[in-house]
Amino acid sequence: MDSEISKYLNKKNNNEKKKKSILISFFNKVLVCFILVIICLILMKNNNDFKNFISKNVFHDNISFAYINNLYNKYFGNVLPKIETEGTTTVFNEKLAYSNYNKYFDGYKLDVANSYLVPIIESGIVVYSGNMDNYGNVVIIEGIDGVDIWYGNINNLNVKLYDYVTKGNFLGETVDNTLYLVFEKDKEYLNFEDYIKD
Amino acid sequence: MKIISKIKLDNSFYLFLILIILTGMFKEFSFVIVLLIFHELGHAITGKLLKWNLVSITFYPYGGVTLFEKLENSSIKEELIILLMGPIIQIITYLILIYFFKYSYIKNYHMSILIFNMLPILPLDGGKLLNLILNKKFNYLNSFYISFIISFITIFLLILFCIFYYHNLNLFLMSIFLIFKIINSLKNIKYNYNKFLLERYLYNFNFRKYKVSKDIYSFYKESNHYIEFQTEKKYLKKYFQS
Repeated sequence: MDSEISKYLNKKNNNEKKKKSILISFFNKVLVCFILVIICLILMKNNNDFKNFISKNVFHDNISFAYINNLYNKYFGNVLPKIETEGTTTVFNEKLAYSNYNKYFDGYKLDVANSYLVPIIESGIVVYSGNMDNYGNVVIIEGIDGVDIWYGNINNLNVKLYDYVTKGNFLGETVDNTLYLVFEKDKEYLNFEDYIKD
Repeated sequence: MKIISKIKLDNSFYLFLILIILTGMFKEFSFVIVLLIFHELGHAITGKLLKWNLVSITFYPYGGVTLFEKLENSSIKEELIILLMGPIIQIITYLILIYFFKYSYIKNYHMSILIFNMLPILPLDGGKLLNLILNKKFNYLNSFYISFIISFITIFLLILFCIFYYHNLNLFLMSIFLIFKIINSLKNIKYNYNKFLLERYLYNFNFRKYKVSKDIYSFYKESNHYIEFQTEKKYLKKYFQS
């Protein structure tokens, strides 16, 4: 009987020892990550194919949030609990109107009216908003088809970072009578004519 | 600080986080998690003020569970206050959030979390509320069975709603998880009732009401009983010592 009790007590003591502090478990996780990175680096140094594979998948391709979200919503419904309520939504629904366009660096330079109200060409998520060389104030929207569209030379923005926006809504105003557009998919720049046919 | 160390995440919550990252719902999710955390803290802090012992706060994708070390004979009033403080704190948080961030979707998420939590299903706040209200009228076991039946009907309707009207995988999985929880509560009712009786035998509760009951299975919450011309304490002594 005594031995049983002592057994039980020992077991309890062992359990108490097993309780690690949060700091130690966090440190262990960091160490595991570190080891994985080191293994990857060694493999990359020895194997050229693996190096290309890593550089393509990690540094060039990006996860298309809007594309995955669109697919998920189509087949499985909303990710977060959401009830569609009839709220006030701003109706803008304009199409892009321009008189002329020319090639400009990676994208295109469009001649539009002065302080033109820019509509959103494709629905998606806003992944960048800030200044860029040659383009002025830029908003990048990652579309549901996986194409990133850069809108340059825009102020009075209606959107913020990581907002989901829908096609045809109001994005912002152009500073003067030029609008820069860049179409990009996996670090490749697409043709304006292919993307917008009409 | 002690409350923070008791917060746990369920395994399904990690899967949910991966889904959130893949679909890029960072902004929406941050509002949802703030609402959920304040809802649970509302329960936890009120419990702390009433000197209840907090065991853990576990977060699931659509809500959290705050567990207390409670007696089955704890007063209905205190339980009611703890239950209601969650939604009230959530509404206050929502009003503060909507004042600073003018996104229309916060209202959507707030309303859906609130409605989901207030559904009359047993492990959720609404089901517990229903059970407490029923405890005033019916005896302990009957009120449990009534709320069990109501929660089963509600979960059935919720699944039908999920399949035919509101196509949503996450809500469907959540409702299946809830079915398991409800069945589990039915399995545990025997032990809970035994605990309910044992507490009455071990501790001295001073209830105002007195009732006459036929057998040991029709005891009411918050009232003393006379059974076979003797007090319940004497009867329970015989019951537990035999």
